[in-house]
Amino acid sequence: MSENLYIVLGVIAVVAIVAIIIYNGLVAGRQQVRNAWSQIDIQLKRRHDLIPNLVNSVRDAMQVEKAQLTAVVEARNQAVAARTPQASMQAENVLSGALRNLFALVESYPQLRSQENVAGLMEELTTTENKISFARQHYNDAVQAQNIRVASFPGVLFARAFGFSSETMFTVPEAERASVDAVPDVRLN
Amino acid sequence: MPAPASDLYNTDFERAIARNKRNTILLFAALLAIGAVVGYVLGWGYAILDVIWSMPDAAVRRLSVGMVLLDLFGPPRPQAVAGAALVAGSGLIWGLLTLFAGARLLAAFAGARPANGNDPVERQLIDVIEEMAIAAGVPPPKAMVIETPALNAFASGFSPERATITATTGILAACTREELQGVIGHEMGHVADYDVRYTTVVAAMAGVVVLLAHLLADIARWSVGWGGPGRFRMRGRSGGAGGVRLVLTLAVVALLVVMLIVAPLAARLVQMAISRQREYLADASSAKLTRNPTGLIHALERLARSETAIVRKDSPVAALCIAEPKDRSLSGLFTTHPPIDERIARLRNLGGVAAAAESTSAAAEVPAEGPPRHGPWG
Repeated sequence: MSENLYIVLGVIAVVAIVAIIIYNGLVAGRQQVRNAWSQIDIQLKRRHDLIPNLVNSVRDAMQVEKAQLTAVVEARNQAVAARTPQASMQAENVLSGALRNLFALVESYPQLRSQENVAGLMEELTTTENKISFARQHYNDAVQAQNIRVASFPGVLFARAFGFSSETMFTVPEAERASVDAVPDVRLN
Repeated sequence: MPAPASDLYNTDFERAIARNKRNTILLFAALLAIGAVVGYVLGWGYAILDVIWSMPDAAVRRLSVGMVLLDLFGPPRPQAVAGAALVAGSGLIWGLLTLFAGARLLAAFAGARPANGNDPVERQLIDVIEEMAIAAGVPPPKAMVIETPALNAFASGFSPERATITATTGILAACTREELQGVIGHEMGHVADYDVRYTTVVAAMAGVVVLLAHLLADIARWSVGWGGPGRFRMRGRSGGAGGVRLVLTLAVVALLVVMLIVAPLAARLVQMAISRQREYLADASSAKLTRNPTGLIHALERLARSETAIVRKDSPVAALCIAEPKDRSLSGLFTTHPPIDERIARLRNLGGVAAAAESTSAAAEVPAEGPPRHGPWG
C-alpha cells in the first residue's frame, strides 16, 4: 500500500522537476529575446546621436549634395520622433537607405575621406550600422531558439500552460532588401 | 517571414560548450598524469643511480640491465613518489593559475598590448570585435594587439566574460574590413563555444613544457660541462665493477632520455586528438555570425599566400592562432590546424547556404569579385 504511495510521489516529483527545468529554460530564452531586442534599440539610439555630427562635418564640402544631406537629417528626425514600434521600424529603414546613399557619396570625395574626424565618424557610423544589423540578426537567432524551445517536445507540453508563445522575427522589408543588393553597384562606380 | 537559417547555421553552441568544458578537464587530467609519470621516472632514475653507485662491487656484478630497469615497476621508491608529487603538484598549481590568469599570461608570452582606440586601424579592430560580440550575444572581449608583420590572430580566456581577442598589426594592415570581420568571427566562435577555455589551458601548459625543455637542456649542458655528477665517478674507481656500473648508468640515462622525448609527444597527441575539428567549427561559426563566408575565405587565402605567418618561434600560442604558425622546427611535427585549402573548400560549400540566409540579415555584403561558388544547397 505504502509502496504505491511512494511510486506516485516519485512520479509527481519527477514531473515537477522536469517542469521546473523546462520553465527556467523558457524564461531564460524569453529574457535572451528581450535583451537582444534592447541591443537593437541601443544601437539605433547611437545612430541617431552620430548622424548630426557627421552631417555637420561634411556639410561645407558637400554643398552640391544638399538634397542627400537633408534626406538623411529628415529621415533621422522621423526615426527619433516615431512613437509606435511599427512607425519606428519603417522610419529606421528609410534612414538606413538614406545613410547608405550618403556613405556612397562621401566615398567620392577623397579629400573628405582623408579628414581625420570625418574618417573617424564614418568608421563609427559604419560599425553602428553593422551593429544594428548584427543585433537584429542576434535577435532573430534568439527568437528562433526560443520558438524551437516552445514548439518542440517536451517544451510544447508546458509552454502554453506557463504562458509562453512563439516570438516574432525581425524582417527586412522588400524595399530595404533591394537597396542592400544595390550597394555593390554604387561601389563599382 | 524569412526562411529559418539553414541547419549549417545552427552551429550547436550549447553542445560545443559542454564538450569543451569536459575536454578541458580531461586534457588537464591527462597532462597531469603524463607529468606525474615523468616525475615518477625521473625520481626513480635518481634513486636507482644512487643505489647502483653506493652498492658494494660484489652486489653490482650480480645486476643486469634488465633487473635494473624492471625495478621501475617494483615497489615505489620514495624519491619516485616525491618526483611524481612534485611535478603533478606544480602542474596543478600552474593549471589553476592559467584558469584565473590564463589570458593575461598568454598575452605576456606573446608580447601583446591593449588596442589603442585612438588609432584608426586599431579602432576598427575594437569595432569589429564589438560587432561580432553582438552577433554572438556575448559581452565584447578585450582587444589586444601584437606588433609584428606576421598575419595572425587568436582568442584566449577562461570564459566569454573574461575573453581576449588578439590580432597582429600585420593582419590589421593586410585585411579589408570584410576580411577582418571573417577572422574575428572565427575567433568569436572560439570564444562563444568555450574553445578559449580549453585552448588557453593547452597553450599555458605548452608554455610550461617549452620552459621545462629549456631548463632540462640547460641542466644537461651544465652537468656535461662538469664531467657528470662528480660523486658517481669518485666512488666508481675502486674494484672491477666500474664497467658494469657504467653500463647500468647508461641504460638508466637512456630510459630517461627516451621518456623525455616520448612525454611531450604523448602530451601533443592528447591535445591533437581534440583539437582539429574545432577549427572547422569556428570557421562555421564565423560564417554563421557574419552571414558572409566570403570575408573569411579571402582572409584565409591571404594567410595562405603570406610567407610570415609566424607569431614567434616555439610560441605557446601556436595552437590558438587562426593559421598554423609556419615554423617547422618545433610545431611542424604535429599540426593543430587542418590545411587551409580544406578549410576554404568547406567555407565555399557554405557560400550557397549563406545566400539563402542573407534574407535574415541586412549585414551581408555581396562579394566584389563574382558570385560565390555554390555548394550542393545553392
